[in-house]
Amino acid sequence: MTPHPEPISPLSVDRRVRLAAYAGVLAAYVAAAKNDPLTPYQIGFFLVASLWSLAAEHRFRKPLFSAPIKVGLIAVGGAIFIVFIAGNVGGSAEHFANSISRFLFWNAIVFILSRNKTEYDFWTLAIIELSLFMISGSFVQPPLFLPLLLVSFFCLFATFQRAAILKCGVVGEPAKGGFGLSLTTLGITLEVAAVVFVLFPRQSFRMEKTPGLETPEKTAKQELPQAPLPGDHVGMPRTAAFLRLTNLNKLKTDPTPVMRIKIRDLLDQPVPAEQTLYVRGAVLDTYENGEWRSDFRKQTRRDADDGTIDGWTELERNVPAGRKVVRQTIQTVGLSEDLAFALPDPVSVGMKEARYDPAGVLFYPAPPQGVVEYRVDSALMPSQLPSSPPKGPVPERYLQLPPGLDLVRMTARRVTDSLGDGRNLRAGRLVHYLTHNGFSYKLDPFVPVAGKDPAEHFLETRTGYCVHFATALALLCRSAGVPARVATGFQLHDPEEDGSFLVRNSDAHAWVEVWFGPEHGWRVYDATPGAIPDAAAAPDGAPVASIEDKKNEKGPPKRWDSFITDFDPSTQALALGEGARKLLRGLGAVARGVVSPVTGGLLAGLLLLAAVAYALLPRNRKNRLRQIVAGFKETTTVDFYRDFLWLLSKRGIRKHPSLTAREFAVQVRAAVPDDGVDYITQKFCEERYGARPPEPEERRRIDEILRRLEQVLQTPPKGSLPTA
Amino acid sequence: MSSLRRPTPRASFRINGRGWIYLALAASVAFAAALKGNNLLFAIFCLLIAQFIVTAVLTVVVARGIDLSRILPPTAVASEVFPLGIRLRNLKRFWPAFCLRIEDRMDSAGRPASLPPTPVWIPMAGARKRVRTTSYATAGDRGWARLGPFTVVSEFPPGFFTYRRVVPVVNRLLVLPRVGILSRRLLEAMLAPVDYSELASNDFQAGREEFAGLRDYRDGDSPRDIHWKMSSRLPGRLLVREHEDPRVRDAVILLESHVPKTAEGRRRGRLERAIRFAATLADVLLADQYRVRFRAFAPDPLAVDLDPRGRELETLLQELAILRPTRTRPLSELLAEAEIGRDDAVFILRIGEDPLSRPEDLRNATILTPVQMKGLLEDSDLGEKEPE
Repeated sequence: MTPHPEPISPLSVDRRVRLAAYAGVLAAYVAAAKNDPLTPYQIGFFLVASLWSLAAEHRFRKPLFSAPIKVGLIAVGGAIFIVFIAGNVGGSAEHFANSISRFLFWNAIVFILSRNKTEYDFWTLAIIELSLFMISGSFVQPPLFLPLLLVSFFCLFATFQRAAILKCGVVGEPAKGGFGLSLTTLGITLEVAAVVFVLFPRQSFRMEKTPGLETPEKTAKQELPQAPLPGDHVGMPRTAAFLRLTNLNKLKTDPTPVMRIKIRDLLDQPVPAEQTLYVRGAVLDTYENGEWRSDFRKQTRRDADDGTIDGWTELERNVPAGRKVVRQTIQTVGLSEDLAFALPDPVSVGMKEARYDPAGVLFYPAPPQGVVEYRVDSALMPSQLPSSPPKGPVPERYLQLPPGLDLVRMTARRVTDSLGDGRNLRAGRLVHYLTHNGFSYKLDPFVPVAGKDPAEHFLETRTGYCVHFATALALLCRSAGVPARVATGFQLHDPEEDGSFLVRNSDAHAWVEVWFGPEHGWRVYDATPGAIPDAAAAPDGAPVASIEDKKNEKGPPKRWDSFITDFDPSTQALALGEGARKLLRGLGAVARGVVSPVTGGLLAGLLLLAAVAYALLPRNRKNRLRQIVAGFKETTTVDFYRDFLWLLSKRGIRKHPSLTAREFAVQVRAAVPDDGVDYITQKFCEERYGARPPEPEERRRIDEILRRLEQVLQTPPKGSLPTA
Repeated sequence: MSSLRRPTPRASFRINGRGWIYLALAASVAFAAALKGNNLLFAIFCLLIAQFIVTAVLTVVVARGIDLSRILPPTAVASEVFPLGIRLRNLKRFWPAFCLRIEDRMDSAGRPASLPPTPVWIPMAGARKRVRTTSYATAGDRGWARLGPFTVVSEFPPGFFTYRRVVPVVNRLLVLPRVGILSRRLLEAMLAPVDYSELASNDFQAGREEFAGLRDYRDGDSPRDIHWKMSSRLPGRLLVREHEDPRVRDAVILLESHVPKTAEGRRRGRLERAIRFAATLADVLLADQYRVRFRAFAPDPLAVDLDPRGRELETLLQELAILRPTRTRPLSELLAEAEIGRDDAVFILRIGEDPLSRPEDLRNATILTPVQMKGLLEDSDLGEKEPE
């Protein structure tokens, strides 16, 4: 006996539903795949599978994969995935994301190749899409994330709405309204999603900036951060981030405000923005075993050292000529250790006692608690390049290089061989090299290959963040005979209206300082992408960017979707506060308008107009209005029958939903012996079930009966009427 | 025990299994987003939640603002499938009625129908548009069948919610008893005792019967009876001569409908079978050119006279459809009131066992017991159960 062939699923017959589902998966994969060498092959295979499914799937009745084979194929994909992960323990997040994406995409292809699809196959594809977008949002974050997400959601709507129509048994019939309905649904969903996004109580959760996105901070004013409670993570990071460069990338994802700094000259005038870009914490001069370190000589200085007790402790007795001295007022919180921050180079500090390293590093006498405020006078580095070559001996430690580092030495030689001895020229050319040869900025954890120096690994992979750029530049400078050191601290930008700066953990930065002799001191060179403009980074250009440049050039270019990616609790509070203020202002304006005589007169006029309009309304409209006001629930779409029910309901005769019109008429006649009841019922049935509305003559008769019934029902009943 | 029935809810709205799974997925995305503070994950989560909310609203919206009505046949026949048209009018200004499942309900003679109407799917009715579709239903019993109310079920895709709404549109439909097939051989045997000697004229066979008029040709008419002259004047029509058959015979069908309270359980089933048998018998007798007189208590005296030329079986079927048993009037009263001629073929359809008072007066009568009636109906086993 031949077995009866299994009916083909409508989802395997209709092309539109499959096309929408496959397009959604493809959009999700494009969002999740980044720099994966297998992506073109994966997409090619996917397209072939999809085309086969769209062109030929409905010709086959039996499924290509039985359920065990389908599970087996997924298991094979899973095994490959596990082997890959096992072989790449410690690999980068990008590798991890790529491997998961491949695995999920493989599963999607298995489902695409399976025949006789059910709705659950599409549900599986939808879950795969969701997983791919989660990977994309967590690790890859492509600029097209939002458009691809919307495309995928639109495809999701189209898929399931088409599948629902197919469930109604219209296979092969032209679909009506599917596209428009999907588009409308997507539009409404977007509206609601935007509201949820804005209103979601994100203060209740720990918020980090999106990893990998280093963007300019908010221009809005922030309240001065308060002293943290014991155990809180907010506040100034541990000094290890600045002294040993550990976890600086984590700091850069933390938008917590930590410092407010106000800069004025000694006449209390605002300082031109030049050379106030970097607030220095520590300087690092020794590079060993792939790490920077520095031995600080914390010399104690006291207020009385200069012979007067004026609240200022002198740090440097001899301020070089030509330096401009500025005064900073610094408010900060929660330093866990004793490192203090100031513009380079500090010459005196508003503390009774301080500790100071002649390299230009300031320390508190003891780790402070809570909110701290102090003042520092700094002699800013000269903005002009030295006209004459640097004089005097070069401190050996700023030319120190560990053995090895062949790649560093070779690169420095290659870049600077053709140049003269000018330190600025050489350092500028090296900055240019690091900013123009495919080096890219990335905050992912930097995992060097075992046995290889991190700086050399960076020069090979050309990917890293400020620490790696600064390290490479400092080592390249030293290899080229230019004395250099790495400085750490914060980068300032976006001054507020009063000239102060709000500093956040995410402003933590590392840069390079080059020694130009005792007369000119140290000058800043920064090779981190975006940290200096192209012109400044030219081989013979000025190495230090102006603050105006900084406003525009900080970090990687701003994402177009930063309204999403940068939306943090502070932005949310600002947006909600602004919204609430506007709402209150609007309400206030309305309230003021209502109490004014003009508005009162206007309202009275409107009421009068409404009364006149009501009087002029036709009878049936007036009836309907009265019914709505009285809360009479509409039970039928035939207006005269509704009026009829309304008249009866006023006398307590109500039609139970289970009664037909004729059955109800029998009951009504027992209470109201009028032939008109039957006539109205008859006309109602003709219109309701026969689609024959009453003729004008019949309509007049109906109105007449209704008027008559109204009079009859208004007369007081003799005894009680039976209620239905 | 209280006999109060729980009232049917007018509308219900709930999250189904798929909805809960979706919520769990959305919660996991929210957890990941909150853990990482990642705004792109928040964007996914917000879209998921927005889709959930929009689906909830649209599930209700698409199922509201609709007007449903039925398109019914004039009558239906018990145990036979009949088409049931459903018309949906979307009263909404903007939104379509999308993917609605319409479930109808039918109570036949106070009991749920043996085969309820098939659920109907309405894929799409645009704003201010009407759609019409058909389902099929079967009424189990004769009598008034009550249709409705409708239950509209909506699961707006992807289907996280199920919204059920009762639309109180109720109609009645008269269900006629089903006419069965009677064994001709047994019928002839039943008619054999009737003496037609006085009527056995040779006139009919000799073709000297009296002309009665013209009528349209019907299947089975002899071509010899076609009135060619008149037919030629009316293109497209064939007229045949009709003659008065001098052999017209009378048959009386007496249906015992006495169901006393003490024997209700047993006699109810028998009465239903007897009613169906009466309809079948009348149909066969009319086809054999009998004038049929039907008498019963329903519970008022019911008298239906049927002429073989009038094709009036529908009248009898309608009366039989609404026939109700009598509690008090036994067969003897029916026999006393019925005017039975000496040459009438009498069929007494019995549902009780009590003896007849004067059996000698019923020489030409064929008394049929429930068991005999069951045997005579060739399709009697279809959908019936012997109550004994």
